[in-house]
Amino acid sequence: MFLWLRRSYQAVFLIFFLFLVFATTSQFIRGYDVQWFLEIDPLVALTTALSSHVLHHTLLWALPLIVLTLVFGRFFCSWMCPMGALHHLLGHLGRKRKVLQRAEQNAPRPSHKIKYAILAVMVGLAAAGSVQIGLLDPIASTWRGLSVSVLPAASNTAFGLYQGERHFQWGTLITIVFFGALALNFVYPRFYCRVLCPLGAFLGLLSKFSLFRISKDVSRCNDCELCGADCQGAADPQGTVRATECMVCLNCTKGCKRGGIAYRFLPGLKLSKVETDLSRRKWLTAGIAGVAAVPLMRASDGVDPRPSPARIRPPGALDEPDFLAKCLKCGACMKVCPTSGLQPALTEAGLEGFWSPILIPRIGYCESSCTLCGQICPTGAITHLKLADKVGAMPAKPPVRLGSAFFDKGRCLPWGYNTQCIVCEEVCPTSPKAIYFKVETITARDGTQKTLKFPYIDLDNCTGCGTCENRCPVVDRAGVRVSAANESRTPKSSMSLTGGKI
Amino acid sequence: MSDGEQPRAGKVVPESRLRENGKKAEGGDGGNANEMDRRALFRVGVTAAMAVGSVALGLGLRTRDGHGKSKSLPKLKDHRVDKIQGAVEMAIVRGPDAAANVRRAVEAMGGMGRYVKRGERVVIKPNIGWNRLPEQAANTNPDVVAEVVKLVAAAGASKIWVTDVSVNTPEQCFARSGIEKAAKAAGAIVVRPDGPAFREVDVQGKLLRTADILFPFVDADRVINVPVVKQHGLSGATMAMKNWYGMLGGQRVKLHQDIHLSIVDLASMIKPTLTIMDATRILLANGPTGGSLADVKQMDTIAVSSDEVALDAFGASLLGLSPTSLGFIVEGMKAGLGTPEWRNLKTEELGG
Amino acid sequence: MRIILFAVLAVIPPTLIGTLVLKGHRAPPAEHASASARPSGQEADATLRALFEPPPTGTKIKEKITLYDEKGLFDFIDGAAPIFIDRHFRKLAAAEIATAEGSDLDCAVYDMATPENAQSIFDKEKSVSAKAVDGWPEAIAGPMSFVFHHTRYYAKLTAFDAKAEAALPAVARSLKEKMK
Repeated sequence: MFLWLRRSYQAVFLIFFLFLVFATTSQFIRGYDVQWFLEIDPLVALTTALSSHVLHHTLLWALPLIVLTLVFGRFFCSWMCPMGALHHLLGHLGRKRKVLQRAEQNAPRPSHKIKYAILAVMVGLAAAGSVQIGLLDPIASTWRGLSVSVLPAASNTAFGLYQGERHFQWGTLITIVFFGALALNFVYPRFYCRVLCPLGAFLGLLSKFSLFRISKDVSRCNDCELCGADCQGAADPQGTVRATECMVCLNCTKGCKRGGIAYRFLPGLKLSKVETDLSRRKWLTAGIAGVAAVPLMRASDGVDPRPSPARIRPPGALDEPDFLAKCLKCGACMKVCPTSGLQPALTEAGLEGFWSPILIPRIGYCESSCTLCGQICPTGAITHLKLADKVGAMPAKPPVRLGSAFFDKGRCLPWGYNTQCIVCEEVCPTSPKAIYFKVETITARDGTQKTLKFPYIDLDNCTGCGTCENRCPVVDRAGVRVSAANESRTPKSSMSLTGGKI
Repeated sequence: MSDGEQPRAGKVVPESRLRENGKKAEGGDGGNANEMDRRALFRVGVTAAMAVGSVALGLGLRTRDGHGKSKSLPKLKDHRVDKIQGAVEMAIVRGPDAAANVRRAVEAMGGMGRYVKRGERVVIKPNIGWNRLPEQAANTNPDVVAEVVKLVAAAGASKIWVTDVSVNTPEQCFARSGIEKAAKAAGAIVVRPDGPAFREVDVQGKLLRTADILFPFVDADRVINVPVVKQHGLSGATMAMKNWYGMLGGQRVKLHQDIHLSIVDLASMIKPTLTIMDATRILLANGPTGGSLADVKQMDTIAVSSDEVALDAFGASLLGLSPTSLGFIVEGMKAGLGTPEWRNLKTEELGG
Repeated sequence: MRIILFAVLAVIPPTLIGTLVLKGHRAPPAEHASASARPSGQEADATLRALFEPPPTGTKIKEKITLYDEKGLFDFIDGAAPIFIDRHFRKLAAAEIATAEGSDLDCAVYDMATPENAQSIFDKEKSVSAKAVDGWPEAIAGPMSFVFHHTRYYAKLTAFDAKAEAALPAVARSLKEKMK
């Protein structure tokens, strides 16, 4: 009976998750808390709190889940996790047929302790100020896979979920990783959950203290191995049940025909195993490796002193070290951006910023009256700006600047080719405009006098939104391009004295 | 073989398993009833403690905005001493011995004891901006710096810092200018402008709201400005007021966008105790970097005052420039920092 | 016992998800409107005029109050107009008033739409020779003139003789009291 309950929970939460992902567009979002799954994710709360020393208020949802896991065990993995539900379904693809073969597939293996090492590395990284958990966290990975890979492909092909086509920089890489993880189910069911998932590892550690556990009445056991045939967590119900691996899927309670297995309150301690098999030495090594990796990565020039001009962050983003301490690379901001301007970075933000969001104006510009990315960022890496603050009120109050536009006078039509063009000035959304014209007369090739409007940038008014670059008729590399210099989130980046800070 | 729910008949059960099962069957759930209750209570207690602990930690760390708690920034102190009615306001001493000039000038101003009290911490700010030798007059004369350190030490200061935020590589500037060696020999602590040495300070200037400043200027009780007199390509000249650039870190190059107002803003934020202007050797052209000895003129002069505008006007006259032609002097006067009419002050001139 | 547990567990997802969905459905996303709430044109005009009805204490209106918009501003102050327009100037109310003794005063009140803009034009126009007014940081006094800003208004008072000049601070204060 409870088994059917577990299955309904899986289905309902998976559907709810997909609903939230679908709703994350400017058309449908309304006020939905679309990031609810990331907000309840205890690993997101733990790592961002470690690296930024504060817990963003939306992440308080994780606390009830931690308490429930401490009491009931690792039920999240088979009752609520959307990635878990997907793997559970796909697990059927790789599942063998005969009972003993299935039991063998579900046997505990040495590789299952890798996820604890991964957890230790991630926690070490976070402790030193770099959040990389989103690369392997199941919920962030599913968000990213759906937002950047699956849904754009579906929409571009047939289903028209978005207005216009959606393309993401090197999205293929994300596709490969996402489907690769799912394909691992061909090796054995729930490969990812057992070997790689750091959230599973964390919940497993909490399960060491769980008050409710799967327990056996050994006097009834006849070694039929039916309990293990469908064990999702590879928790070895045939031997001593591993409390850290058990996902409370309850398949074993149905499998045992003799009623020998049940989910009970405080079963005897000898009946469950709580060690993770990862030696203390390996825990320590993994943790220290994580901590040491951060200064090693930062000795490279990704963050400072030579930030890439292409590292244009979303409006409301924190200053770079604080941003990297919070960004999960979940891809939700990329999904909700109405112009698809937010893209996963490859090298623009260094190794640490791999897959973090940057604006690529050639693909999509930043809509001046939109603050959706800040609205849905679950950790506050992108703060939710008030529209009045984003737009500012020049000259009294400066706007939020993402960067500045610079003319490439060799490529700009009036400057380089003496050909009239008015597009950049026309589309500049600031008031007063950050692009203005001077009218000049030049001598054309045929000797006639030609009057042209030559565009100039007004640095104080330019917000770096990229509308000019996006609409410039020089399609491959535009005649006016935005770079991150002068972004308001980084006081050092300011080029003009009127910023008031040096 | 059909896929049944029953195990195969005649399956051999591994012996180890049997033994395990047997043992457990005998052992049962362990102990007597009281043992079990205590253990159960212990387990519930541990779990409850962990639950309460995580919730408390989470609630304690929570925040609404993205930055966490913002810290309040330190401000700069007023390092001036009280004015004494009728005291000498500016002393100018000329002579071949720079150290002696410094001694006599400070003496004429009332002696260092008037400005530094026993036990106070003092920072001395020479110009150590450039990778040049003393003869090239791009930095303050090391003998002048050493003498100032000695006078401050004799007045009983508990800590004496000598520092500057160099434009060229600090290690080389501090060494080649001769100032590091001279200052250390005289008993000062030389502070290199490294990243951790800077503090963000709420300066409340007109152009600058906050700035990164070297810690001695925040921590010291008394501040003594020891500039050198040089021509400057952008501002016309760099002397006492402009010497305060050297306390700044960060992107100070932006100040060049409004140089004269920036100089006055800086000279308004920091209120030094005394300024001892080094005109032993002055740089007449190609400043502030200099390089050629042909641009250097030997003036063998030291001027001391608390009025930086007056000192700068005097320095301008040594460079052959009209004080009112220099924007920062005019703005400094307007801002009430002092007077360019240095002759109107109670001045004492000594020596040839 | 198990039935109760089952029922409780069965009820949790629909309640939880239902609440989240309904809460989100009702709350519309962040504001689409522009920055600060500004009063409508007519309302603002009336408020501007009302600053002079009744006139500042101890004065009377000589000519009727004239309102100038952006175009009219050029007629009134010529080349100085662009710096006002850059700062989102809305309307100017110009009044010629006289003190009880009969000395003339010119009074110009600019509605700059927001307090930030009023401060901005005040800072821009402030001359070096102006003196600060004791106890009133938002005001300066110059020869024959008194200038201040308060809420979204920027006011410039001009006198033509010594008696009127002496009356300027009081007139200014009386005007300021009415500005909300």
